[in-house]
Amino acid sequence: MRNCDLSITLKNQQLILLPEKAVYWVEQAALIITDIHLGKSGHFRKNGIAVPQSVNNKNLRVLDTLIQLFKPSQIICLGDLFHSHKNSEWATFSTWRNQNSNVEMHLAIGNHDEYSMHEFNDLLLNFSDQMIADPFLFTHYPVVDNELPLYPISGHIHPSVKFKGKGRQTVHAPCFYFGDNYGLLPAFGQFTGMHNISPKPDELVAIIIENEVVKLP
Amino acid sequence: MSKGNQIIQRWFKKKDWQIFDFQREVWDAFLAGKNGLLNAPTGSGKTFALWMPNLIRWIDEHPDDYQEKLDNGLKVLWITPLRALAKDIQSALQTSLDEMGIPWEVGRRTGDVAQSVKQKQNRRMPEVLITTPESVHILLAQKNYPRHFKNLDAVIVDEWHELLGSKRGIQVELGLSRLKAMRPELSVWGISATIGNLGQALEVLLGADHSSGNSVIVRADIKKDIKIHSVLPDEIDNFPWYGHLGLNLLPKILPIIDDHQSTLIFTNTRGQSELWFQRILDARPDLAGAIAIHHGSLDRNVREWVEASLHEGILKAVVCTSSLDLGVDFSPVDTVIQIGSPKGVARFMQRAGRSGHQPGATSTIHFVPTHALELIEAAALKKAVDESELESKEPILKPMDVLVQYMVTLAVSDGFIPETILSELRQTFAYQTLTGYEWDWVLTFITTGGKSLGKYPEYSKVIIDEEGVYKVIDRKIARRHRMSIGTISSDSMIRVKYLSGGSLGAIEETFISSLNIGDKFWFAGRNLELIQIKENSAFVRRAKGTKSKVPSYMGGRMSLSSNMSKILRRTMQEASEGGTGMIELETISPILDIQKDWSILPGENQFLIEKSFSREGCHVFFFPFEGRYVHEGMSSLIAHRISKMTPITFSIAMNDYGFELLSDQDIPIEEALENNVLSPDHLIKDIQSSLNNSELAKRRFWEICQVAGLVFHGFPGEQRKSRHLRMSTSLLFDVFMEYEPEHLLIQQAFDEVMFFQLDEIRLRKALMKIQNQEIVLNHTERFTPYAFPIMVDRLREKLSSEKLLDRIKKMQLQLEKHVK
Repeated sequence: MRNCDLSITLKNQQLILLPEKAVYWVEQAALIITDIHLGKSGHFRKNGIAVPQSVNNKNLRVLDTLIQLFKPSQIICLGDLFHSHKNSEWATFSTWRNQNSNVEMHLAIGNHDEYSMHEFNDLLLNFSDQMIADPFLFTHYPVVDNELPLYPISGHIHPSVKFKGKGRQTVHAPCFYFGDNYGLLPAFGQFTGMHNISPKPDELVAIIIENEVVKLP
Repeated sequence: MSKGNQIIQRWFKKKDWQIFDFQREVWDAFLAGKNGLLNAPTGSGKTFALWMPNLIRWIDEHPDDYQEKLDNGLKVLWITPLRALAKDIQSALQTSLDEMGIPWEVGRRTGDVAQSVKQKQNRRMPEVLITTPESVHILLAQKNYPRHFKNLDAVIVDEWHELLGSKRGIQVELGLSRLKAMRPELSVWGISATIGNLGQALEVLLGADHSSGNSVIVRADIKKDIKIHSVLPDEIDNFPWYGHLGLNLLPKILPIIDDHQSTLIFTNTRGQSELWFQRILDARPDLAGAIAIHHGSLDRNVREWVEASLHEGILKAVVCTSSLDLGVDFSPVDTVIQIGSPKGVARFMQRAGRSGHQPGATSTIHFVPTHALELIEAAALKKAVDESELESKEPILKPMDVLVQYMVTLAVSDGFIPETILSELRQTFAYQTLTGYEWDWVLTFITTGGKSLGKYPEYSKVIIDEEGVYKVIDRKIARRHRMSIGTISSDSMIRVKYLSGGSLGAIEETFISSLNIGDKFWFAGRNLELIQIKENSAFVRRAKGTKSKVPSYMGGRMSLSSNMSKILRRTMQEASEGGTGMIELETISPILDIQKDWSILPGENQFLIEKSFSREGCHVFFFPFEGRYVHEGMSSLIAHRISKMTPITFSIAMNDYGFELLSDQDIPIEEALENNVLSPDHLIKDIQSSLNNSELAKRRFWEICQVAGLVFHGFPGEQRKSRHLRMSTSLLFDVFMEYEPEHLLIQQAFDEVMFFQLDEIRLRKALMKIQNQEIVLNHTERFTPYAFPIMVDRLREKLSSEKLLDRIKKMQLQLEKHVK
């Protein structure tokens, strides 16, 4: 664990929150990420909107770094791995999967992934609507009324919090949120936007700021 | 006297018109083969000054059959900046032709003209074509375009002062360079209102031809009498210290409307015009139907109806924006009202000139201050008009985005050979110093996309064929390019339509997307309710009730011109001495007394800084009176320099008079002044490293990307979301900054920030001036009349040298209402 990381205990499991907007689950040696939106740039370019491909590459480069660092046995992605239909950047991802075939990858299907589910078989992925890994339930959409004796952790929201101070100052920061009933992870992908949430005072919130994960008091 | 001259004279006589000296002077110069610039105000007969010599030449060349010859090809190209003007000019020219029995046809080709008409023109060009700079380039993007111009004799550029100093002006320069290469004997003439640098205006228009000594400036020397009235509040005590709407003087406006035949009410923004229109109607329901609203977002039909009605004199008043600054002759208009500061003397005079449009008539303008300090501006404007101090229009040099667009335009049509075009480019004013490196860069960029975008076929637009001709062969790229020609960048627009059909105009997508279904808003002078948004249209129905929003439109706020700033300072100096006898200054004197009481009234040789504390933190106000743009640069410069002394976070606000640094902690301004924080040394370096600069450059880059064709708005009916386009340009900016900071379009973005936004030259001058001024630092207990308007501005820039984590520790978590 590095100085910039934050270790928390949740349901008796050790989770290391990483400023790369990912979580390392120590007991299961699992790297958990969500909302990469791969191929977003390709999708835009195809429609005449210029976005350089280096953005995608950067996402995968960050993943590489994390794999080197933690040597996970599996990657759990909570949906929106891809932004839209198959485009040229799939090939890049496919190559990347082949290079990392020793790391298993699971995908909880997100709204953006539905475009392209029939193509997933080629990408060395296990995919399903939800994934159970006791004591957690991993889904894309937040599970509000959970009937299982599991703690749901999801993506989709791209959570962030907003701070306000004197001198008319405001700051937005992406965050991890672990409330009483469910948990939310920040979006892993670059330029994917954020959505402000309003945690209750006693809930666990950790923000990512200047490449550091900091727990809110 | 030639036959042509005789016929023209006879025609004037029949019309009972006098031929002015300046008109004759232009005819003689034109017929002697000279190029030139005519300096004449609107409504002076300038159109005929440049139209008649074309006819004289035609008649003299064909004295026997000038009334018979048909299908003569395009002879005269008339370029105007404003589509609305084209119609007026067309009918004036066509009437004269018909009355003289010359069978020429006058056509229009602008964005407004139907496709079928344009196709007809493509098969057979009219003898005269009235068009815009953009449309000229669209012609140049047609296959086999030289066929259109093989008979071209003259190009007239109307309202050249409006185009000069803009990228549209560059388009004119480029278009002319191509036309002159095809027609070396071409006559080129511009028409310009009075600006500070007429000589340079001519030089830019003609490029290298200017030095041949074959050019001339003809001045009409028509002095327009302008009467300026200030609309004054009865009691200055109740008059607000800040604001920009000016609605509290509404009761004083109504009698002005009543007392005149027809009134133009100029506002500075579209939102303001909507508000004013609505409030006038509220106050005077009997004016319904007799007043109208006119601004750039309204549907063409609506605008044309308003213009036609003004022309016929059936409207009592029209609330408008700069959309009616130019052109069309509204003879019935006998008075003009200007709401809020016009920011520049030239614009003020131009607007005043919209009344009393006939030669010799007096123009009347009423100035309505929107807050107390604008009364000083009113006094300053009066003086300025008396002394006719007018601004200059600085030409732009070497914008790469326009050049990239132009090169692709030529590649889309017939293709080009670089050597030929390069020599033409170097004949223009804008690109006379184009270097080999820059030229190679442009060619590489359009053929490969350059270093960073090299891998993507989307950016390799142009190919080089075996004969070395640069061409676009991909039809999709060609189609996209033809649709994107132009240099006016804009947000994506959403059409506003009634459910029952009928379009009202178009609003920025950003505004519409901030509304929910069922929300009410004011547009086109109507109260509307949003029903649904479908395929780039917002469907609405008429609504009742008062809780409606007014669209806030994008578009920069104008800044005080340097001229205006100079005169303002002088007026303030006089006000501080007292006894000017000017009614505006006497009215505002109680407020100036408060300023003097709580702080000082800075004279011309003083630089005032005020420091005070409030619940929000520490405020420091600076008053250079140099206009918003200069303040933008100066404030981030000073904030940056202070932030180097100590970790601190600023929020920055500004107006045309001064700027404010606000921080949650004490701002060490005393220490900063000792360290010479206002010094002009290392200006560029400090500005470049102030965080603000790259944000500003990013905003500029958005426009550059559109002009250079890096982003595409989409085909009709499938427009892209502005949000997505902005995101992608911002991303491109980041990538270029990281991998290719020497990219010429990135360089251009930074240059434009320096040139347009921060106005580096003015900023440097302003800082030098401060060096010779006495710096007065006052600790004030309350916000003074000068400071207050700045303090209340919510639109703020930020600059920080603190660690974010430290900042957050001092802040509170903001809870959103929508709990998820």
